[in-house]
Amino acid sequence: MSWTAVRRWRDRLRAHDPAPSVPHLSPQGARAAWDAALDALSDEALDQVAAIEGEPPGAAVMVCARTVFTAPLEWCAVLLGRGTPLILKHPTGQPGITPILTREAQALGLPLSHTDRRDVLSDAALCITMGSDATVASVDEALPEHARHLGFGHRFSVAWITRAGSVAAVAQDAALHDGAGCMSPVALFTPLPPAQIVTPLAAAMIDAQRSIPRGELAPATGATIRLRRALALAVGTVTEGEAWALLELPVACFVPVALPRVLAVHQVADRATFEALLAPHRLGLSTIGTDDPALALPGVRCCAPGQMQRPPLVRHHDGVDWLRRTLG
Amino acid sequence: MRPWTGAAASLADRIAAFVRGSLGGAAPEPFEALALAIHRWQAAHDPVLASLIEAPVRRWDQIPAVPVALFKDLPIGTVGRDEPAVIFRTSGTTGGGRGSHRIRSSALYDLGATAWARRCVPGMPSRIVALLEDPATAPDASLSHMVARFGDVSWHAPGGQLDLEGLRSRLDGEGAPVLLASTAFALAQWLEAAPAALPRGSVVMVTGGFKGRVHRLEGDALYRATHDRLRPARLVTEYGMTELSSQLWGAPGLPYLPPPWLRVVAIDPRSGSPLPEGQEGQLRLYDLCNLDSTLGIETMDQGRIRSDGAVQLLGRLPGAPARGCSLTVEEAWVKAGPGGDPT
Repeated sequence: MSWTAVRRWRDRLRAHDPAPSVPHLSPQGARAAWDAALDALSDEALDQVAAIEGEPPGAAVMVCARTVFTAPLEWCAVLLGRGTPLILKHPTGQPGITPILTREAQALGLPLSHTDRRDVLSDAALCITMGSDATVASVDEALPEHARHLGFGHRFSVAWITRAGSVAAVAQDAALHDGAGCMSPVALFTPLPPAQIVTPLAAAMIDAQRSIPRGELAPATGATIRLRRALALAVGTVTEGEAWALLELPVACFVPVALPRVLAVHQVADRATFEALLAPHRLGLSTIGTDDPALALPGVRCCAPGQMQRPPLVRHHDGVDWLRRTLG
Repeated sequence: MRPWTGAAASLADRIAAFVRGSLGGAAPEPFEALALAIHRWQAAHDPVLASLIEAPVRRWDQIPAVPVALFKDLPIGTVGRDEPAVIFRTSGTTGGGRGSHRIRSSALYDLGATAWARRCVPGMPSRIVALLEDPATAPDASLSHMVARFGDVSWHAPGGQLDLEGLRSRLDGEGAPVLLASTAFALAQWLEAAPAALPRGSVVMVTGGFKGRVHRLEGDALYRATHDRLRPARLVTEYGMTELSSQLWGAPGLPYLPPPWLRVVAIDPRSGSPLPEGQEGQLRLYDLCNLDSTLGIETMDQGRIRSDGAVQLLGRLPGAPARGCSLTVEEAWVKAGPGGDPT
């Protein structure tokens, strides 16, 4: 067990500036996401994980996605803490933050390395994949029969807000990772009249942009934002400012696709209607940020607004008890 | 019978006169005057377009360009749902259903498409072998509709599946030049079937890309294989889309030429602002023949515009979903097996 080294690794990582490795986020955005992910690796949380009994795998590979650069942090912490050698397989030519993670780990004697070679999959006893559904399927096919595979494909998240006072925190959820994470809200559903929501939410989006400016848009993302905006101009309402927009749209226009700092606002009658609307998307639903204590959906993480992208270490990930599934 | 009345009929006449006149070197009026007149009429009769007007429109390039994907979500254009219409539909391969391009008549489409094709491909053979679906069974396929206007066509992709035997039989013993009209993917599939050379003087027309999928033959390799195996007198490329009434024509390695009644603007995809000439950007197209739908279309393609208006096409915007007619044959091919690796 190497939990002490993991704590030191976490502390050494705090001293790094992740921004140069994360060009799609603003420097402030990269820092905020980095700090949020490291905060989750608290001593108390690591102690809880260390107390879970089981046989760790002999070796593991994690296939990292391009989008949420902090995603490997918690997996590294847990697997390395248990003494499992881990290889981070990053997208070809895009190592992102992985060199920093491995350099600091190796300096402490933790068995972490990174590569873009796909053949590392052939030696893995355990493989964790983050990415598109196609990537997960592709990795599944490439793994040897004896390997265990935890694949996490595309997921999306939404907010269910019943009080206007809760919306400001949703803007923070939308700001972290610029909406690229599967725990970032793609839409806000509310039984309240949109006017009650949009005004405070717009103010919070302005504040979020001030404190964590949006990063540079990918070309196709800019085009897609214009498409969604055009839809809202035609059948809804657009409220927008520098690098953010709120699109009031009929629920029929809901799409589970995240756009950076662009939140759809859908009014629905009540919680039951909201749940019915999500029913066709349940398998893809990761997290609901909500101020409604009565909301509970099996397999879906429900949390307070503002905590959507700050998941605790000890939890189920997309409905999977990942802390136990990574043990024998 | 002309489907247009009143102001629309007058505009249709002006557009037809513009097409004919501009090909003769003397358009009867400036592009901008006609574009603004069409836009005003469209905005008055299309609530979707009207909702997209956020600032006064004084120049043709200020006319709102409707994102192509919006055709899937909303009824775009001036043709009411209960009005008779010619309807072209997108392939629906990018998800979210199929977009519809509704027009009262294909008269302007046919006029512009045939006139510009004949201008760009002088001596185009009138005997046509199409690796496309027959419009009799796929009346909503705009590409098939266009090719049908070019001459006497035999169709060889029933249900989107290339009919290799029928194609061989059609070309076997053919002595007169033909126009082989195909999507890129269907052509690649045909070339893998070891076809014989085409009759002397034949022309190959390729349109569409590979839409995010992989084939051993693509890009320059496809063109080289086409020259090597089919030995056409000429290989031409065509760029069009369901939501447009006009097309651009080019050749491998050369930019696409728009007709005088269609203009292309490159914009910064992040901001939507027009870019200086020659800079790479997202393409917006303004097509005067789109009388019944909408003049301006914002594509998910990128390219550079030269000073003469020609377009160097650079494919899809990075991260944009694949799209288009090539997938009809391609998907059937992938399902069938050989080489169909979508990763």
